[in-house]
Amino acid sequence: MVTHTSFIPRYAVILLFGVVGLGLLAPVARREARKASVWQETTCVIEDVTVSTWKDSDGDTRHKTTVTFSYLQDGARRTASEENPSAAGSHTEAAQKLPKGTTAPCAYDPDEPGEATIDPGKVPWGLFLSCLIPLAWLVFGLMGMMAFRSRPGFDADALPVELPRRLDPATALAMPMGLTGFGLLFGAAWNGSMAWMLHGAPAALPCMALHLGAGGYLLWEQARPMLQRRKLGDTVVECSAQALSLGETITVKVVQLGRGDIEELSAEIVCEEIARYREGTTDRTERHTALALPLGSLLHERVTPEAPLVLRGSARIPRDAVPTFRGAHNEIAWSVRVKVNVASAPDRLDTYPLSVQARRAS
Amino acid sequence: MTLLAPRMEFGADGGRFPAGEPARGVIELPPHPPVASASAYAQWYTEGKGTPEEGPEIPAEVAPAGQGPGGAQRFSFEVPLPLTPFSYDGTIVKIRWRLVVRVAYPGHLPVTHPYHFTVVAPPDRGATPYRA
Repeated sequence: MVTHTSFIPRYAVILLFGVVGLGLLAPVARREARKASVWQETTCVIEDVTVSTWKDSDGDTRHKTTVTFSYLQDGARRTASEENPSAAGSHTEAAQKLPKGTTAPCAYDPDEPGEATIDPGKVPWGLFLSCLIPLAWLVFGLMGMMAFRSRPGFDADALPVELPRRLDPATALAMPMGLTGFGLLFGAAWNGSMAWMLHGAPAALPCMALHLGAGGYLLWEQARPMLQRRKLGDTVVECSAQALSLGETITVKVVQLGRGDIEELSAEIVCEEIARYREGTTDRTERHTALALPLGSLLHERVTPEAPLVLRGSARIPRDAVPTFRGAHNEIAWSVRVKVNVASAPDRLDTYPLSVQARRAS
Repeated sequence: MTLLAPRMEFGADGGRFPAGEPARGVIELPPHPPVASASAYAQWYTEGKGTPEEGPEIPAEVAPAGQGPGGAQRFSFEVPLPLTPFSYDGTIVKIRWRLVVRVAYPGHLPVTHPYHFTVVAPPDRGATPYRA
């Protein structure tokens, strides 16, 4: 039985957020879009404007402007009311902007008698942009699920442990960058729609373009490594044990999934010295490979989803080697290092941590 | 009064002790002045490029061990060594071990003296190779 490390639950949660978010926002956005495109514009008569005032639980004074208006639909006069329409302005100016008995442009839903608005013809850009956020979650959730989908049957001669891949700095940065991207897209949606409503498109567009550009760039930066990895497929590393003792022989199986022409697939056991120190205000990390034990390599091979490329190799951890050591600033780290050179994509160098102990636990 | 540093006799050849086993030896002090108390601890520490760090103090059992030549005051010590880390002389990371001896004389503040030793791999007790 192979212990698979799976990221699927994390991506499933992102996907779920996307589905729920779109489920909530999309119907509202669709309704608002229909208002702008399908609803019939007409002229209505202002029947009444009321401003109610109350104090909320914090003691702050709140106002609500309700405009009641009538309009002709299919020869029949109908009455509708709307709360806080932007046509009425603030509560202090509502009575002046929409005096009782005057006419104003409005629109009604031809399919839903009684559904009408005194703010006709406004495309809800803010709502559309807000939909980008759950849409992005949906896309990333789906991409993640696809990247870590169930693997083809290469488990016939599986080794007991599947090693988790160590996150490289670029991958580790992807999540905060992605979150910042989401934040900027949200900023574009929120600030842009507010600016659009209050000051019109010329004021809103530069702000939205700036946010959308920066947010889109950061999201792309997050998606790019995932897409590059997706292009070839995942690399699975299984081994006889994740915790080894000095003098022990380790057997490693590297399975390259996906599709592509591989120039070289090689694996080795490495012992690295890692030193961390601070220089001025910058934290620095230096690495030095102290020992490398080759496990084997494959040259000029083709990998397909039906026939993953499999590399098996064994190496003996020397008796006089140094075991894993993890201090706060100094480290001796053992790992399986896998290098994949592909003609049409950037080379990959992935690290799968191991633990080497002084003595096998009895 | 000049206080001479103790002389250290590690029990192992060249001060090389297997990890996971006790490090033993003798601390020899001049006959005068008489020692009020002697204690010791073992500790690993790092050198190299990384920010230096040191491990916990592992107390040693120190006991009087009679008199040496010329009336020297002798103390035996024994300290249990952990399985890791080993002494390691790498390129950018170096791990060292030291035994710090603390001697107190009447009327004086205690003085400490570090002595370096080496922790090596424990004896091979037959690592089990993996068989698929």
